[in-house]
Amino acid sequence: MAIRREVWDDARIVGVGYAPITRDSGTSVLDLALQACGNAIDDAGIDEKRVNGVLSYSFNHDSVPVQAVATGLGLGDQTWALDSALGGQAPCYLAIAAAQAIHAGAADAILIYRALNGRSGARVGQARLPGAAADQRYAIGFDAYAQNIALWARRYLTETGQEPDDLGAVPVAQRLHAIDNPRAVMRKPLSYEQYLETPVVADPFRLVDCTIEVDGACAVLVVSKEVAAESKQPPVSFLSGGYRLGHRSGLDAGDALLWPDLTRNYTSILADELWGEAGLGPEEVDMAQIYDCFSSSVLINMEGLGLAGRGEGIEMIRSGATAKDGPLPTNTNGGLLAEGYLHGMNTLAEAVLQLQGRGEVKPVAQPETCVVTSGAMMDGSALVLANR
Amino acid sequence: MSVTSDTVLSSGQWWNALAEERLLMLRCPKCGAAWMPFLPHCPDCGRGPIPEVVESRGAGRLYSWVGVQSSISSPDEAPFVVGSVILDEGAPIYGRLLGEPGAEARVEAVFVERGGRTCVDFEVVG
Repeated sequence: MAIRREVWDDARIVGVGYAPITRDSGTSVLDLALQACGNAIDDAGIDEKRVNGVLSYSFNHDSVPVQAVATGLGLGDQTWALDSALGGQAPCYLAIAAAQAIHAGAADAILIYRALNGRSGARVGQARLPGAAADQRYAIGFDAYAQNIALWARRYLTETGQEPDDLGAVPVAQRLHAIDNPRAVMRKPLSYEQYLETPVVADPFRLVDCTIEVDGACAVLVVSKEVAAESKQPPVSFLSGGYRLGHRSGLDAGDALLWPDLTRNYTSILADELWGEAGLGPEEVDMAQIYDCFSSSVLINMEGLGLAGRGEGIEMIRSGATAKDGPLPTNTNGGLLAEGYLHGMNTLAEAVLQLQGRGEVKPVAQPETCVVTSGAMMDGSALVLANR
Repeated sequence: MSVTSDTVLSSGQWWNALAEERLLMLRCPKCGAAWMPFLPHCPDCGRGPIPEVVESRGAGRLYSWVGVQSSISSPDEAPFVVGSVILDEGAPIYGRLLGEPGAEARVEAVFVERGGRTCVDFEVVG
């Protein structure tokens, strides 16, 4: 079932805030969260006493609770709060939850943040995932997140008749964006030849097919139409959005054992509703911000949404279609591969900034619509946003 | 072969059976779906018919694979390849792969002592 369209009428995204994205923040996760949330409030130009909802997400207990952030910012009484353990599937989903809360009258100025010391603290890439299925994986030394996703990448390459080195099109194209993004951790130019010189870390992935773990935080402020009128930033509106947890989704974040098709993820289940409710098709959207913990995730997400034909994502990216002068600029901040792994919160934030005309990387054509995804595997969420 | 029809297999029982070189799985008596013993109910039918505990013949096909260049839990054993195998009875399972990987390659279970317990690896046979 689809979310009722009137839910989208009332909500707007206005402010965006970051804490510095680094390899070693030298500070606490709470401090990072407060920096990002405070910056988002200031960016929107809304009185912080107007904030009455705080949402966040974590992975393996790597964040701080929303109560701590409300306290640390000196906010007033909160009427809507949510801590989710969804990880990278959460950003679009929490924006949807905020819109639903605003529509329901539960709150009208809601912060969404992601904060973590993902590099200097606990690293997802080395995390032991809880869950019943992990028992068998760890016993055979199959124990890193990159290895889980590599199974998807290998099957995708096999079914579409492509080779592991073809994946390089993704990090090479995204690095071109990151060069112009001062927030990005990886800003050195990356040629395809240089890509081929990077080590294979979880075959078929090379080092730069994997996101770079970082410390940092990112926040957005979702408000009612009425509060948006008080903001100094142009409002971004929702055209559609949804979350899908596919059938046979598994027992933990790394468990795709029961998932029937590693070449298709939640985007394949969500695509028809997302475009149908938005009233525009994948060939009409101006920009894409696609969850990219690994290069193959971009391909499976884009093809799942119909932004590229089946097995045609690599060729599309090679053709320059996702560059700033192409028909579908994609991951214009360099993505999680280059800006850093804020678990997709920065993917959503980049969509908002670009629609407001405030991106660090300037596409040739100012986008009016943008599709955003959160998640790489069995479950995830997506939005179609517009600058009106 | 049906071992028992009214006991849901625990993870511990599954490992104990591996030590006897028996690869057990659960099978739904209603739809025939098969799976490894970490779920008490059929992932397709849900609660309903009590799953059967059955023994796999250990033969299957290679669905996907990953080259593990470094392993956190088995640092001295890497590199090795982990395969995602679909057993002929329909149950998916992960196991280390012996031999050259290839899409849809035929594989067979091999029981290997590792870290004080018996694990199931898969050997490419065709």
